[in-house]
Amino acid sequence: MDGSGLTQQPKKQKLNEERDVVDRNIKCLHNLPEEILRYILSLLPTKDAIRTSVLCKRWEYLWTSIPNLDFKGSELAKRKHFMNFVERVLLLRDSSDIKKFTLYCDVLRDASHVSAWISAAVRRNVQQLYIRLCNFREPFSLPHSLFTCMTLTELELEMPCILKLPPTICFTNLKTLNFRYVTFSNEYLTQKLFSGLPVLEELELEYCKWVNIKVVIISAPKLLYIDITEDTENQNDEKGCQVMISGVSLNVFYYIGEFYNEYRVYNSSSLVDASIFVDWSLQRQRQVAHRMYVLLTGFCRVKKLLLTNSALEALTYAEVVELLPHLPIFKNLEYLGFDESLVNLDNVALLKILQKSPCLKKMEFYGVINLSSDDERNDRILDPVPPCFLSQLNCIKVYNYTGDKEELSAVKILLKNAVVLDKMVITCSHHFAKDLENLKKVHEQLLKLPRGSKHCELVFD
Amino acid sequence: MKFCTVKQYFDDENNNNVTNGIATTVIPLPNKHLKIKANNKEMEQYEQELLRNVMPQELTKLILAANYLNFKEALDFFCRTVANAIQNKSVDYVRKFFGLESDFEPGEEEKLCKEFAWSFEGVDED
Repeated sequence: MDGSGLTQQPKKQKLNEERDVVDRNIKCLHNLPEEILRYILSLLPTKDAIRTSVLCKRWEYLWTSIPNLDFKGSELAKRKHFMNFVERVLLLRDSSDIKKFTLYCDVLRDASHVSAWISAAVRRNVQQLYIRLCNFREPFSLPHSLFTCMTLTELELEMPCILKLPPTICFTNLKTLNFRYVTFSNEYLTQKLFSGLPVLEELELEYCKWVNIKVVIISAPKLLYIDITEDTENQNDEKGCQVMISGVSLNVFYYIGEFYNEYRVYNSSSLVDASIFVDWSLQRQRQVAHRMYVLLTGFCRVKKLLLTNSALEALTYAEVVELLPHLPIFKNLEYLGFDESLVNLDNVALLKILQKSPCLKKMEFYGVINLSSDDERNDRILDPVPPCFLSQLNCIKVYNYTGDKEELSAVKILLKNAVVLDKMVITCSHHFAKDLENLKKVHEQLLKLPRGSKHCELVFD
Repeated sequence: MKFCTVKQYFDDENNNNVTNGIATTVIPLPNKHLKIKANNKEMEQYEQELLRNVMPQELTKLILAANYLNFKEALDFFCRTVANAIQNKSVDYVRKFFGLESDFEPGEEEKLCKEFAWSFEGVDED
């Protein structure tokens, strides 16, 4: 919609003269200039815009240049109508560029139609493409033209089937890429895909599978943000795939999964924020431990690190524990956080990480922190006291506090040893906080604890 | 606010596009717009009020005024108001709103409705 004044003489606009006999003194909305009517149509959901073709003859094809098309066919019962609708709309739509194209549908045996629709969008220089397909009853391939689309800046592809890649892949302008449930099965072409992303900034891989692929290098020079959510069911072979990520521009790394594949970030000096939410089952501890260690070694420059307790537990596996002293110094680490799982403060890996984080300023525990209530033993745990406790650590936050013995011990040892602490914030769990009597007792108990830092404030949230 | 365009409009006596009444609604808009910009809820309320108090014909004038004055934010706001007003409404409702009458041959309209059947499902009752 070009904002410059469209007309200086509105009266001479395209007005239907006969209709005006009636309307002359009443300016009806339909008398608006066509460009403005088209603009209004472009603001409507696709369904509504297309319905206007039934208003009157003049409006039959007014919608055909709307820049955004969204087709979300959800109910199987209405599928036939939906598929006919999409086919008809794409047939009638003019050749002007499509900006945003959304297609959610059950494919069944209409693979060729669906592929043709995506092709139609690509031909019209689509910029943002959101595709969610499911229910395949025959083999499905995306059109080859999609993979060399020069205008594409955003692509979301949710497709629980094998991604068949063409020989030529180059996403010249793609900035955001999101694959969900996709299976990568050709090592050579998959590598080509992940090397042909020159301006990619955001990559999300959710529940994707790597089949018959040993190694893949994701090397997108402008990649800022990567988010990997692994499938919880292992459908790969024993070892999975080794995913190497070149992090020359990478700022944020986010991972949820069970390390069915191995991940390694190299050239990660710009990485600022890393989250590793790993979980695992006992029989896989060895593999998870090694993979956790390997990943962590690539994060030596991060400022912020978020982990699950399982991540720490994994590192305590026999062989890997011996490697812990070889972890790099986390020389920029200022924030260390844990998710809602229970953290044991005497965890060897946690203590090692604390020792190696000279600049740590803040710790946040979203779950419960525990420590056995043996005071003598506890004094030996933080011996030597991590350097950050002595000079940098100024804020500790604990959520979900319920005041039992183990939690009290944990808070006690922290308060005692963090000698430059400005404040310790303790939030009781929602449920616990309802009992006001008990809450008061707990607060009093905490206030009595000796504080290593003279100016430390105990805050109850 | 684009002062030169406004001045030009006031000077142009042949311009019947924008009456004085409309100018008093459109011109204070930038301030209101700026104040409400951050708050979507208030903008929604203002939109509801506008729809209640302003007939479609008046809306036409507002849109034309905003367009002529090259006031993009106002134009956008009014167009969105129109779009929101007709969203999910029946064909008859939208016809009335725009002041249109069907000029299709009998049967032509049914044919179109059939072709686009999927888009007619779930439309609000009048």
